[in-house]
Amino acid sequence: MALNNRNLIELTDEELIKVFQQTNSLEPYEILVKRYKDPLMNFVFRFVGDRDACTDIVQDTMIKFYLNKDSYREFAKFSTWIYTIAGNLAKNELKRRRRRNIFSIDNSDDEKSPQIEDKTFFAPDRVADSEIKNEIIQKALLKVKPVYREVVILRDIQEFSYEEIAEITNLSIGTVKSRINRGRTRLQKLLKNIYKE
Amino acid sequence: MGINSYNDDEIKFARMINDLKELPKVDAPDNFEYNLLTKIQNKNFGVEKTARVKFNFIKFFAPSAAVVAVIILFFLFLPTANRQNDNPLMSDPAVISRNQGVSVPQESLQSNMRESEAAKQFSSAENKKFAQAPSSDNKTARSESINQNKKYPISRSPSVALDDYISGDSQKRADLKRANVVSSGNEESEFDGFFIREQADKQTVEKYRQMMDSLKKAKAKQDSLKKANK
Repeated sequence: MALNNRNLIELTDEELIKVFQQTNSLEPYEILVKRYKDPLMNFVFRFVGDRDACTDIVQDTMIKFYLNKDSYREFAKFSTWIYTIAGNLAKNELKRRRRRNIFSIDNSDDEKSPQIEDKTFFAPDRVADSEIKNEIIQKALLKVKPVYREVVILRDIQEFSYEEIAEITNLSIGTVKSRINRGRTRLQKLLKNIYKE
Repeated sequence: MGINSYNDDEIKFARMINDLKELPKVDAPDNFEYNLLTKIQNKNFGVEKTARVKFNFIKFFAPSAAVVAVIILFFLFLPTANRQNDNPLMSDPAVISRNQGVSVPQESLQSNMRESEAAKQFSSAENKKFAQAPSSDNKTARSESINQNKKYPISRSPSVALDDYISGDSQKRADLKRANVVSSGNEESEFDGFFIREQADKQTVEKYRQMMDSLKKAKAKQDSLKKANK
């Protein structure tokens, strides 16, 4: 299969990984990395909340993809497959952190978490400022349980369909919908100062 | 991707969902691809591939088997160990015969002790008495200490003068018996050889004496008849 770089760019994700599986060349792999590095960074950052850790997780995701390319099957969408890998690594990182916090002598978890519901923390006029608002939303998002957080991010930030989320999380569509609903309710409760009607 | 239509559930969260969508996108650092490809080319994957250790029956049960073996050995050899722990300095020393310098084995003495009930009684009651006796009275102490030696009741005397023994006149000869020597020579041992000790009554003694006399007479008569025949 004699494909130059220009032709490769025009290929879909599934076609690219097929080429990568067959030729074992780095070109299709690099194209897939370019396509998915930013969406994955965004997803993992919203899920973990730490930029350095997020970079490592996405790097590990890409390495896993490189090492386990043959485990990908055509019937699945490449996007859901790679998001599943990234999601699992992100969950592992969160578990590791929780374990570290349990055994850590100086548990500074309270210091890290902002007082979202504290009205004196940010002045109301400043809340309107989008940068601070985004920061508050991100911190509130991190306060939501990971099982709800993941699906809310996938649905509302990454804009996946319910079917795709069900495939990524290996859950039924019903479970996905109920988790999204619970996650949103919890998030809105945390952000009641912003969304008070 | 790219869903903007809200269903009934999403309407009440519409503002929040919009804000979530508008959150700034986080991009990968510039050197992301370079670092990744460097890792791949150097095969520095950083993924720990720890081979799952296969279940090894022997390794798994070796510690417990060792513990069980130690317990079994402990119970098997515990009685022996106790026996060995007996301090030989604390046990009674073997008594050496004064005359012949023959040491009597401790075990044989103990077995003989078991046979002689009288000796046991003696060693218990009399020994206590001896232990409490004042040291000034050497003679009494000596005689009583000798009684202790009744542990050795079997007479080692090679021969027995039956007549003397029966008649009870054998005080001097009996003194020569080894057992009696051991037990001071003043008293006879409770158990002499394989005979059951009985006090000879006078009637029996007379009876045996008459028998002996008649035998002597018969012998003398036989001798005289032989001489006459010659």
